[in-house]
Amino acid sequence: MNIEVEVLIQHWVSMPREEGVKASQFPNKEARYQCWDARDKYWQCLDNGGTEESCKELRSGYESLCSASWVKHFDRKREYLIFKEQMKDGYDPVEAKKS
Amino acid sequence: MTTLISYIVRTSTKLDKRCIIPLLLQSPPPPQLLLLSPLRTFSSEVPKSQPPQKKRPARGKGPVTWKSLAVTGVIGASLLAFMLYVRKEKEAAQARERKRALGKASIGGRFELIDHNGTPRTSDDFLGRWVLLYFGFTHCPDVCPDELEKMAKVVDDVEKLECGQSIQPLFITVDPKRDSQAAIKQYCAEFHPRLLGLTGSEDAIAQACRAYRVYFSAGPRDEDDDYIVDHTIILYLVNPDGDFVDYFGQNKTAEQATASIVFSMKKFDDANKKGFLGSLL
Repeated sequence: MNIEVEVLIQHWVSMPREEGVKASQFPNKEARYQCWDARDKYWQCLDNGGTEESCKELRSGYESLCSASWVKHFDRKREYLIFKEQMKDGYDPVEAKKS
Repeated sequence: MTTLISYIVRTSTKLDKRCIIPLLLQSPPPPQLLLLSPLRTFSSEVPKSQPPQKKRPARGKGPVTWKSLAVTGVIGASLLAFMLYVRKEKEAAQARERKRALGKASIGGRFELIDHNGTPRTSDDFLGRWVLLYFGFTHCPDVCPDELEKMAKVVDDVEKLECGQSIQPLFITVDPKRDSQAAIKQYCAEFHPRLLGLTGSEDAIAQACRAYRVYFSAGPRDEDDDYIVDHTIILYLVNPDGDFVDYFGQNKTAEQATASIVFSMKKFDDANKKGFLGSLL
């Protein structure tokens, strides 16, 4: 797992964003795919029963490859996707709140 | 009219029995028809011992002549053509009436923006072409890239299916503060070689968004001064008259959108094609 994160960070270092390009530069196609890939790996770790603690390294890889605003967006998205799955399985948020 | 129809009925029954069936079959007609047929000439069925009888009526002298056959054909064909024409006119009138009753969707309208090469562009510049329109921003985390990739696929697929028809894909930024012309140019090139990015003053962008009922709202800024713009995720189809025709949300696949667009193109072409008689007049 360590090697994976290292590779990801190496990629990141070679990317334009790290070379002092202002934040107004949007992440290009390559940067986008790297960010999504890191995110998916982190999510997969959580899906496989990992905790935030055990997936910490993947999390830091994900945070270094995606901009802070994207990380916030994807974290909210994951919460929403989990909520959506629960609703599909018959979860009732109103009932859950009562109890 | 009644006499005409009864004439056709009369002649056609004659034709059925004596002429058309054997003619169509092109093979030896069934025996009972042979016996009825006035066109029969002598053959081996007549006993040889009998002396030759008076000659049967010559070809073309029967109740159905070539002339009556031709007249019936011409009248029948023109009646059929007239009927089809009337039906088509009626359908066209119904379609017009339906369109009038429903009214035009109040989506779409004029915009005055600047393209990613710095050329001023108004919506009028795209008249005469089909347009696919998407609103987004270059810092968009996941939705815009997905939708723009879908749009690029739809453009290529429709053009492959409908040879000769082309679609102009357009991208309008909802983040004019951050998306410079150069950034938009670079961004568009990542998706489709003909994807044209449009930007403009904040007012001009707001006006274009209003026309298409697009909601957009920049979220809070983080410490890097980075932010995400929340916006309506819809692909709009605009016809060569500049009218909004259809929209495709995130739930529509590229294949579904392609099929709808091809259908809209056919419908548009049919509505703008003059009828056969209409083009003669």
